[in-house]
Amino acid sequence: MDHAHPPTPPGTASRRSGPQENWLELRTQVRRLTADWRDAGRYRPRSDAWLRSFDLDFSKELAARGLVAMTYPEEFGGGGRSHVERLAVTEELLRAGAPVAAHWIGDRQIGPAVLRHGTRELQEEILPQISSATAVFCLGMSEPEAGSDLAAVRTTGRRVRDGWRITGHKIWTSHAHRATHAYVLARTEHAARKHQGLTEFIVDMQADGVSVTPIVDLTGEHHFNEVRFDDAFVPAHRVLGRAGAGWKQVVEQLSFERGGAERVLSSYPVLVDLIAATAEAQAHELQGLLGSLTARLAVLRRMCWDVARSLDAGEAPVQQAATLKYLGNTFEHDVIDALRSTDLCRDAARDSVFGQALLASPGFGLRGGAAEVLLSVIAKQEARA
Amino acid sequence: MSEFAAELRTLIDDLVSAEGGTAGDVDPLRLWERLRELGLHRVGLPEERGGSGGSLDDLVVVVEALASRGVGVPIVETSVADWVVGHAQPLDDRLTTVVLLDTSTAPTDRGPGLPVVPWGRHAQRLVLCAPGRPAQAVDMAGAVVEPGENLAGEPRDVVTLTGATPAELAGAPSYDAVRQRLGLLWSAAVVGAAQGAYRLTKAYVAERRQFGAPLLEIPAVASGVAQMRVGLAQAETALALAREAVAAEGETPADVNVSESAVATARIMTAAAATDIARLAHQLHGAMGVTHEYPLHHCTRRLWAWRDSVAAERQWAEELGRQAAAAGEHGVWTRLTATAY
Ligand SMILES: Cc1cc2nc3c(=O)[nH]c(=O)nc-3n(C[C@H](O)[C@H](O)[C@H](O)COP(=O)(O)OP(=O)(O)OC[C@H]3O[C@@H](n4cnc5c(N)ncnc54)[C@H](O)[C@@H]3O)c2cc1C
Repeated sequence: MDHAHPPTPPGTASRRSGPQENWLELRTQVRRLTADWRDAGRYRPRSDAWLRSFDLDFSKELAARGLVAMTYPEEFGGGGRSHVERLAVTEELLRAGAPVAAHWIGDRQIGPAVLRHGTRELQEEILPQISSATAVFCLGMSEPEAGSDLAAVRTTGRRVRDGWRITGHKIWTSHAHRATHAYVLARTEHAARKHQGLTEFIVDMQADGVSVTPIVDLTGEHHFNEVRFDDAFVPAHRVLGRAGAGWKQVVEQLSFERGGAERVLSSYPVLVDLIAATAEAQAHELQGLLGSLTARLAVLRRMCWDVARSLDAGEAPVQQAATLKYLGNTFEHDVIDALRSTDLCRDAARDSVFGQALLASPGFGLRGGAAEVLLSVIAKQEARA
Repeated sequence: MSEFAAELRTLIDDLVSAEGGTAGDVDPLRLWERLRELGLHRVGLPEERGGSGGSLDDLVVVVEALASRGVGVPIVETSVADWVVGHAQPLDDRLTTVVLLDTSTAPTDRGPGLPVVPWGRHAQRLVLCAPGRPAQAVDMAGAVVEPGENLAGEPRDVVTLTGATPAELAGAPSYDAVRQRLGLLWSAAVVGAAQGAYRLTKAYVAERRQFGAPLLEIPAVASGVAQMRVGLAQAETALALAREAVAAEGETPADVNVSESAVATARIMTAAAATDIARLAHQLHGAMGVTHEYPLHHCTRRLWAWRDSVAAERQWAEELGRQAAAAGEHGVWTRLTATAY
């Protein structure tokens, strides 16, 4: 089946192609699937589901329908589609608050990184596993001493016969306790400049010397972890891209990590409540708040689309993605705050729509790069421009 | 953006530079004459009606480019007035301006009922648009004009029509269509002025040294610059969305509803950006930005004046919010995902 050109949805035929592409067929498919699962009681929509709702069966179901790895070439089990099409799907999944955490990281950034930098051998090994949602990835970037200053990672990779030995301590590693594979950024050379001498690895979580300890978050949930690597062996072919060139590659990966709709829609269930509350109360204050928020949402969606188009063009829109994430996270917070103009915030239960969103919100502006750091990325770029 | 758009931008930049360069040196009326000689004041109006041809997109570029240099000429008002008149009759040389009347005021009302008229003292004809009524035009000869100014020092005059009776413009666009075109063009003007304020600020903090280094090297300053940049990006994106929506819907009044929310979105987003950018631009400029001599105020005063033109940001937001509430989440999402990224 030719996925590249789905039939034009009715009503759009006369439109120019471009911004008006709405991929209704894909959207409808996702809407049906999520509605079925929800109605069958197989998931409950919630805020921040892309990080917190882990359901491997659901991810596999999506994969079976070609809704995972959509942008990867068909030869690796992918859909051969564009990032713009993928965006239509991710938007709908996020809107539905669906349990997508199991495949999210691998699908979003590991596959694309392997496609851009991996050897053919690595592509053939890893991509089909992401495409079928059999591989679950976690991101081993942050360390106790390397948060915003990612290039300060101390985890080391030591060259041995047939591969590498990794030793170090990663932290805040989401879903490491469920992952089959870890992406690991490690220092492999002590270079004069700290941005040199970094290497990206794909490590088996089952390998000897890999251990995971849970970190419980302020809601009492367990999603992130500490991961220790104690001389864990990584075969030579599991180096992603060029040894020593990890920094440039990881910066590029961040455009995939930061530039998606999940940076805008983490608190979407709250917006749903706000719309209903505004309809009921018909108060000017709420109308004004809701109007501003929907205007912002319309613009942020367009920014996601701009990033997706850049990715389709093979670019790495670092600044665009940072801009989107900064503005999107602010929006996510403001949506939550807007609900405080209704009664829904009074004595809100911790597992209410409001409670779930608010308690998850401190992470919005940290994960994937802290807000202040994004601003400094943008400022640096501007100073050069 | 088309190649023609890039040419237009350059043309306007050159014109403004030739007239003195910084907004303080430019005589807006002389610049306006130059624009008229070149037909730039009627870009986006069909040639067969006396316009200069080109699209509404091109007009947006003209408005944005002029605003980004901090100059105020009657381009928004006259191009919209001419657009309305052009539906009824071929355009002549008269400078025509436009006012929107709210529901309670009949377009034939005179005197105190009339809101302030932009560039009233220079206008030879005035277009009046009210909801649910055909647009009218009235000759300004004999009108009593009491000069006033907006925050940016641009003419906003109290006009009392004494002699002439307003005449209906047959086939003119609806009130809503006029309001939308004004909304789109004021959004473009705000984006332009925001670009101007941003450009000045970026240059200033790179040059001005304190504590032995350029201000830009202070993280808090760099963060302010970045916040201006993201605000501007948001406003530019909103303008692009509105431009595309209006262009896709054509310009016939019947299609206006579809692009309505895109224009409201652009007004809300550009107004919000105007507020943040004006505040940050002044903060990062220190006392220098407060002086009359330094050109920042040509942009920031326009940001303040223009952000709430046509309707206040809050009003656009309430309109959009009412629609969203009435549509429900399903309706909101369907509309968002059906028409545009
Ligand atoms: C829910 C959640 C999930 C996460 N999942 C993962 C994961 O799966 N894998 C992973 O590798 N990491 C993960 N992280 C970690 C995340 O990437 C880091 O939190 C982030 O990079 C910031 O690092 P830090 O927490 O050490 O904060 P720090 O770097 O210590 O920063 C603390 C504060 O100082 C500010 N700051 C730091 N440097 C600067 C600067 N130069 N200029 C201005 N301000 C500065 C920061 O903005 C922040 O406000 C996760 C985090 C969260 C909250």
